Amino acid sequence: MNRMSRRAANLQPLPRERSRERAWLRLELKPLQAVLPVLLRSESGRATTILVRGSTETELPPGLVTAELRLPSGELLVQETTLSPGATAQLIFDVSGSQPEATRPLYQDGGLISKAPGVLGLGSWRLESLDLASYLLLSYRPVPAQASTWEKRVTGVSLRSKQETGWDRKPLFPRGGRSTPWILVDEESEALRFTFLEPPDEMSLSALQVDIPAPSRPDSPKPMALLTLLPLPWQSTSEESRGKPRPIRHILQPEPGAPGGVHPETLIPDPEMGMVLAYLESGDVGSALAYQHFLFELAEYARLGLMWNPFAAAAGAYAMLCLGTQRLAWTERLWRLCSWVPDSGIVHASLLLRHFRPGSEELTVIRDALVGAAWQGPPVFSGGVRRLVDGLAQVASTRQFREDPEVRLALGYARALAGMALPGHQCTTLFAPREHLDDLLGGAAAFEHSPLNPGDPP
Amino acid sequence: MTVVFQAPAVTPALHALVVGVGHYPNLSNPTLGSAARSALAMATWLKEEYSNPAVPLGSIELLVSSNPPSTWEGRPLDAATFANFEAAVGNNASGWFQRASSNEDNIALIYFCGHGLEKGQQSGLLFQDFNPAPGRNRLKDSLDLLEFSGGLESCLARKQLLILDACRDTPSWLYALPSPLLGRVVIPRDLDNRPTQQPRQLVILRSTAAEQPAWGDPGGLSRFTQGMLNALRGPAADDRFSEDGTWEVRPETIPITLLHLDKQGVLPWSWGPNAPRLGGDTAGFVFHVPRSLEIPLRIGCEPTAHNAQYVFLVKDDQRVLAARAPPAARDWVITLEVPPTSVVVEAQPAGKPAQAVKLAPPCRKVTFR
Repeated sequence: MNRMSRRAANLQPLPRERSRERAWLRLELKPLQAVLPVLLRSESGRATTILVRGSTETELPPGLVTAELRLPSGELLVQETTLSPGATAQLIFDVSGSQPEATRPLYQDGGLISKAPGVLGLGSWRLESLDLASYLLLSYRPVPAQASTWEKRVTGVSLRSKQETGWDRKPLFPRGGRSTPWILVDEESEALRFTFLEPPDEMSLSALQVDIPAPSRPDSPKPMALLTLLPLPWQSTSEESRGKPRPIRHILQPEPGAPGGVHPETLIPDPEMGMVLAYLESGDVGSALAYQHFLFELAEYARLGLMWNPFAAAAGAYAMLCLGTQRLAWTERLWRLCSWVPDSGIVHASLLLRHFRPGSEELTVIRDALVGAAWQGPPVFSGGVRRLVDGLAQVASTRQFREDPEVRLALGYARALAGMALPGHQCTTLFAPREHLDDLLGGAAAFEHSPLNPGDPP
Repeated sequence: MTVVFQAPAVTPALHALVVGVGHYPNLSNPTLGSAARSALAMATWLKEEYSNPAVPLGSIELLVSSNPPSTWEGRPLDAATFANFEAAVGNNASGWFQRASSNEDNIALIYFCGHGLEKGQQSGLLFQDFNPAPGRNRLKDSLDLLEFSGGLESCLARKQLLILDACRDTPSWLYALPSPLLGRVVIPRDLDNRPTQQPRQLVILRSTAAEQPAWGDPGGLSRFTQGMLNALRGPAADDRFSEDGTWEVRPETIPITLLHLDKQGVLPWSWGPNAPRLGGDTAGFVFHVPRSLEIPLRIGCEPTAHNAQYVFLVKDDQRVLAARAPPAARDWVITLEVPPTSVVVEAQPAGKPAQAVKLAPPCRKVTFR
């Protein structure tokens, strides 16, 4: 995803006269909308991490200072400069080619945007049976018909949304005949890209389904599908644009060796939340910790019931659990107000389990939160799948709930999900036989009568 | 059971169970020599280099399968069969589980190197007796990782580290099995008897990414273990979270450090899609406090072709610490011990200004333009 480019240190002493005992360092990121942690080591002082929002000035003792920027991609940018007493030095980190796509400005790569139903791109893509009023879709110039790798990998793409009666399915791009290739290219790579603003029905779960032709594996003659849960609608958590709708990006990248030969990736465009999730995914906990203040702020809003973005609240709660933060008293409110988001119950139960005292009445709350989550369907965030299995298995190990049929059913469902949920994705991505998708999407209730249900989960 | 090291009643302490499965007699390709060597290297590192004043080494138990069988200081080692693993973990007074449960502040460490498989988010670790012959319960002798890590909640040690150096790809026969993948359970979950209210910190290090194999070098160690042991000697150290600026290694820093080293070009290989990953609950603890730091330094010219024209010198004050002569076409990667905390790098014959560089983990790079 990230094509790396680096630019060298850019030291520009500024002609300002200040106190002779102190020095200042201005750190600037390119592009300015990036929010990234920079690790500073001065000659005498200890290492400190500061969160740079575009541009930041900080006071340091004069002398040699090292500034380190660690990116989730593993790239390490290091610059050194000598700070003169009373003066300000400047270091610029250009990460425009390195930053995760989630933080890039939308559409800078020249795609076409259409907000109206009709033809996208250059006419090869026809949208049918879909009201586009609530969608933004980004497309690329289709290549003239030729032997298409996409034709072999993808037979259909559709958007699914949860209704009261089940999961609705709307095809996004029904094939228009042999002359319509599935190849899309841009200057970077061949990929299908989607940008979503809102789900078909506000405040319901939605997912993107990509159909893969059979057989995708030698022993798997059934047509398979990749299904990714989408955190829609996503409203910005950034201070300057809080509450404003932000489109979610979804990219389908051909990748030999990936299940079905396709690597799906969902990108969350918030500068802070996107980076917290990216750092945690890469394992750079130290850098993710730099965003704690942002997470606390998010938590405080949630505690006050300002749940403008329940997905962000759940993602923030997962992140805080990963970071070992204890300030999560607000997850109960998240669960009570937004129980339709399975992650809300999972994250609340996970928190209670962290500090669980045997014999505590909280066991019933944990049980209700987890069973409720399993009834809603797959969690939106991938980390929720493991926590759902783990939590339900812990509950099922207790004398109180060992024989509880709802717990056993929910646990069977969670294990089936875990067997088909691909690791290494931020949003839950299932690789499953197409015929079983509805049983998995429908939650524990649909699973009860599914052939996937072994009947008596161990 | 082969307890190869046992300190006299030290609490809190690190208790390690190290497993290397280098021999799978039921597979068509039965030898996985790097796994046995990696387990022995890990145990040696623990005994000779592991350092943590707050949590010193308590015990090392070692199970290694290889052909011929491996030894430790002249003693034969128990084979890494599932039964031996189960007995070594053991829920009895002499088992690893009980040793690790002797103190809340203990570190419970499991290191596994061998074959593994994965389906979705469910992983299995395979022991010597794994038999994939059709018609058998092929997962009978595999360890269900999700259940194992869940069962470890019953261990009193609140700091838990699982280092899993195994493949994570999905064999085609696994797709044909009904979901879910369930291996054997060694430690049953038991929330009613949770030993403490303190939250545990479980960190899982995976040697490779999902759906990817893990690699070992013929005659050498697995790449992940080789990289990890090098990272533990300095590159993975961090001073951001210690109260007094001590350089310490938290387990969660290891995978990202290995990625940093790759991106800076100081590893002899590139991870590609096989980059190590972090799992578990992520937030970690102080695992290791290196006695000294070894920092890789990469020195080169831009464009690379100019490398052949220069001799590189690394100096501390006026003393030459290292020199690369004669020149070579490639960048030069050396490992320097800290202190000194900063060095000067020169390219001779002169013509390019000398560069001062502060040595700090994970690595440093000097480029003459």
